[in-house]
Amino acid sequence: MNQLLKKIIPTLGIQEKLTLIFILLSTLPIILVSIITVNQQIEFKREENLRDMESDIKGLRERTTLFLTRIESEILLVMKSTELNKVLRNLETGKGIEPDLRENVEKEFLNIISGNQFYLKGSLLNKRGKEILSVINVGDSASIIPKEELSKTPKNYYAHVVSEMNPGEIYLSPSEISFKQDKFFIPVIDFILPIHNQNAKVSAIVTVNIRAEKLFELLVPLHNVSSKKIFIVNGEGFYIFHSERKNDWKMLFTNRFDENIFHDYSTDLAEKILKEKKNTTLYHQDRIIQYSPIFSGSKAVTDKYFIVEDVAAEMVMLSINKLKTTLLVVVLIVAIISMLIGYLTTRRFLKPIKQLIKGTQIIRSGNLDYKLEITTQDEIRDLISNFNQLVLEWKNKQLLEKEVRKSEKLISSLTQTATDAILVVDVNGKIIVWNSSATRIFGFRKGDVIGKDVFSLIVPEKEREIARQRLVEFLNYDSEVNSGTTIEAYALRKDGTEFPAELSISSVILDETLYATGIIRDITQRKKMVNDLIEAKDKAEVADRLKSEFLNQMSHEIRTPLNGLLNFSDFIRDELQEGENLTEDIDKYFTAVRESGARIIRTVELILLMSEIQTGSYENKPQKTDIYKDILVPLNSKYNTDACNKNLEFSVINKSNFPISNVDPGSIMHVFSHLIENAIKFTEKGKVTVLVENNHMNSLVVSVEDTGIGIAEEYMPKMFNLFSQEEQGNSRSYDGNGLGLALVKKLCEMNRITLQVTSAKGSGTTFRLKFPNGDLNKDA
Amino acid sequence: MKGYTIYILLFFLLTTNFCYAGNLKGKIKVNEEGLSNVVVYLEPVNKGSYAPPKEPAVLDQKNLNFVPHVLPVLLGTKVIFPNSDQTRHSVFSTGDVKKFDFGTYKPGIEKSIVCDKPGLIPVLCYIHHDMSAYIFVLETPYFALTDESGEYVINNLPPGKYRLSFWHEETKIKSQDILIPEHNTVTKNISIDD
Repeated sequence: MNQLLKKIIPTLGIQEKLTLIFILLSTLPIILVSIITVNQQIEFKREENLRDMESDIKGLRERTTLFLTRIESEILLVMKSTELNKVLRNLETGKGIEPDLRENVEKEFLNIISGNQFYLKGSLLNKRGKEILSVINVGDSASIIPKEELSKTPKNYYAHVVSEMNPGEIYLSPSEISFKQDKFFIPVIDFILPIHNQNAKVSAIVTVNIRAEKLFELLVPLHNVSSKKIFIVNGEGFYIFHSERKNDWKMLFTNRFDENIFHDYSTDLAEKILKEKKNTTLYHQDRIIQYSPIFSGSKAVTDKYFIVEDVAAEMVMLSINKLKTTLLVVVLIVAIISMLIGYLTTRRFLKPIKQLIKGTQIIRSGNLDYKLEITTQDEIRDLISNFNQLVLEWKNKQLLEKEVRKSEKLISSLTQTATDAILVVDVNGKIIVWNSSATRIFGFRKGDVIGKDVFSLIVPEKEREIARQRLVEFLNYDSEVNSGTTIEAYALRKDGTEFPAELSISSVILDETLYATGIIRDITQRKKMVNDLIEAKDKAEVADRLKSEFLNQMSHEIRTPLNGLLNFSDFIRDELQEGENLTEDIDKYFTAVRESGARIIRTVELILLMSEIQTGSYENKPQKTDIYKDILVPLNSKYNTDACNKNLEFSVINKSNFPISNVDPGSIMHVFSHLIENAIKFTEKGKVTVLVENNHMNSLVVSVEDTGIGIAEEYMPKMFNLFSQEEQGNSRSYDGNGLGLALVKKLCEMNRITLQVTSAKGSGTTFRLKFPNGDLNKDA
Repeated sequence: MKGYTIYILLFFLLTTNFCYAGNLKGKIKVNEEGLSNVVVYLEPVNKGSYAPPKEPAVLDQKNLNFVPHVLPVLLGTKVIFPNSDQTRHSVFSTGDVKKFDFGTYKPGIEKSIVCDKPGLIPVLCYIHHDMSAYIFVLETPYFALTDESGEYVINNLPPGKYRLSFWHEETKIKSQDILIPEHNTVTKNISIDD
């Protein structure tokens, strides 16, 4: 039961439990009262029944005693008669009995026996059991058995019984009598009474055979027997009397199947009944059995008697069962009512709790916006209110956590993907964070360094104490000012090698604890590169200086003697002219010398310029330059002569109202000199036009157009290369060193001038220079 | 074959009777009337031990009577108590020689005792108070019971000296010495006065 309750109760909800308590509280008193009432009734009924049975048995005893006393007194009355005393005396002395005396005694016996229909036979025996006289009461009349018909042999049984009896006792023994003429047995109870003499010795025995059937009809009250069984058994369990088997009466010991108590009761119970010495009540299965020994006195099992009353408990309990049913119905009704009340009440109480449960389910499923509606005014309201507050806080916390997770993930990703070592240490230098680059750079694995002292791991020994001190100072005093500062220092790898490192350090406060975050970069390569660069620069500077010196030397060494040659050749010519020795031919030679010399100087200048540009020593100084007035007008007057000599029409036309650009005037002078020179050089007839204008974007564009030989299309990509001319070798028709256009291009690039060429072989070439739209003001 | 058997038996009977053993016969009278159910037994002066018969002696119950009323047996004999009646019997004995109580038992059932002590065993029935019987356990195989006419015969007695005794339920045992000669029949009549 306990186990069952332990299993069931935890599975019940609050409502079921409360309902259960309701039912228990309401029905328990009724159940208790009912149980007490029923028990009292049962006790009462049992007692009543027992009293009934006791009175039955008591009544039987009383009636038996009365009956036996009556027989005894009748017999004793006869015994006290003078005649019988004579007979007894004669028996003791062994004398015979005179016929007259005998007749008288026989008559007295006849009186007794015939006077009572219970008696079947009465006999007087001597002390050894020999029949002295006998009277029989069969049919309607009693008669004396003639002396000749008396039994010849002594009835040892009676002598034996009497020998074991105490004076004053009566012996009752069940027996059967069969008369020779009858085929049936008559069951009898033998009444045995010893007659004692003055010396208290048995002198004779009186036996009366009482008809058992009639005796028990008298003794056992057969009213009301329908509800109970009453029977008398002997010590062996044979039914002497049975209220339900009166039809078998004539066969007390003859062959019957159900004549024994062992047939109807369990062996245990039967043996208990047959061994009992006092009045006893037994509740056996559904029966109440009361039994008691009666007619006590015999030692023989066969001659012991027990009266048994057996009542179906149901009979006794009939009214109690009715009461039980009524009470059960009452209990059930009360239980149902209290269940209903309990259900309704608890439902009312539990409604908010159920709402709460439902709410928690909704919230658990992810709907954090769900809000519980408060419907009560009691503690539940506080609970729900707190719950709502809790959910709100939780929701905020979740959002916050989400952000934190995101940010953590980002930071973690950043930390792990950073190429620099990222470390976080506490004020004592204990490592808290160590990213994968730190592992790569220092050689220590994360698991080996977390919680270890950062200084002993990655700071060279001689720096350690200072570094430690610096960290404390940084965190305590300088962190706000110096956060994010970068220092360079040497760091230590796992293998003991040192390397230059750049450390950025900042501080962070987590949970009121100060931490230092360090980003460490291995700057070995950078350092090396810087050193290399410095070295290269130094070397380049030396080489450049040497080259410049060489070139200056060279130009000086070439130009000075060349100028000498030219000047002196001019002197010679002038001398010849003065002496009028200058022939036309000789003048031609002098012109050739002059032209060749000028060409060499020009080439040297170009080479110098080019080398200056290439070595970066060329000084390009952009300034506001009026392209037309400062550059093209002087060039016009310079090359006009050359153009006239070749019968070419040379013109400089300005269509721009603001032909000014921020360029180096020297470079631009070079560029246009060269382009105009080239145009005149490669044009045999026609014209050379320089046009200054503004294009639609308002950029300054200067075009140099000729009607010369033009440039082959296949040569166009190569035209700006160094030392390049369309016709190679000695067969070429135009002299030139091939430096010009390359230089033009370089100079244009330096001044951000876009250079464009359009040309066709035989129909002339146009160079268009687009000047940058610089930060020029028209006023400047 | 049957005829031969009878002749052979007769031959043996005659030879045993007449050649070696002696016989005893007589009549017991009370008031000139033959007295039945008297046990007559001879105890040799030189006591011997005798094997009990293999077949049990029977004390039957018929028509509310023990049959026979008196049953003399040799010591060690098994006595069986069949119930040949229509009703139950409850046979018992309370005497000193053999105490037993069979309880009430049905017709057709058989009970038994072994008479292992010499003496008189009174037998009674709890249910039928008129019934009574005696088993007389003897230490001698030489006994007989008187018939209705009070006559008895004891054959095949080895010749010699015996103590001859008579027992009846209503008298005391009376004894006398007797000599049984060879090849002879002794007649012993007793007369008892009431």
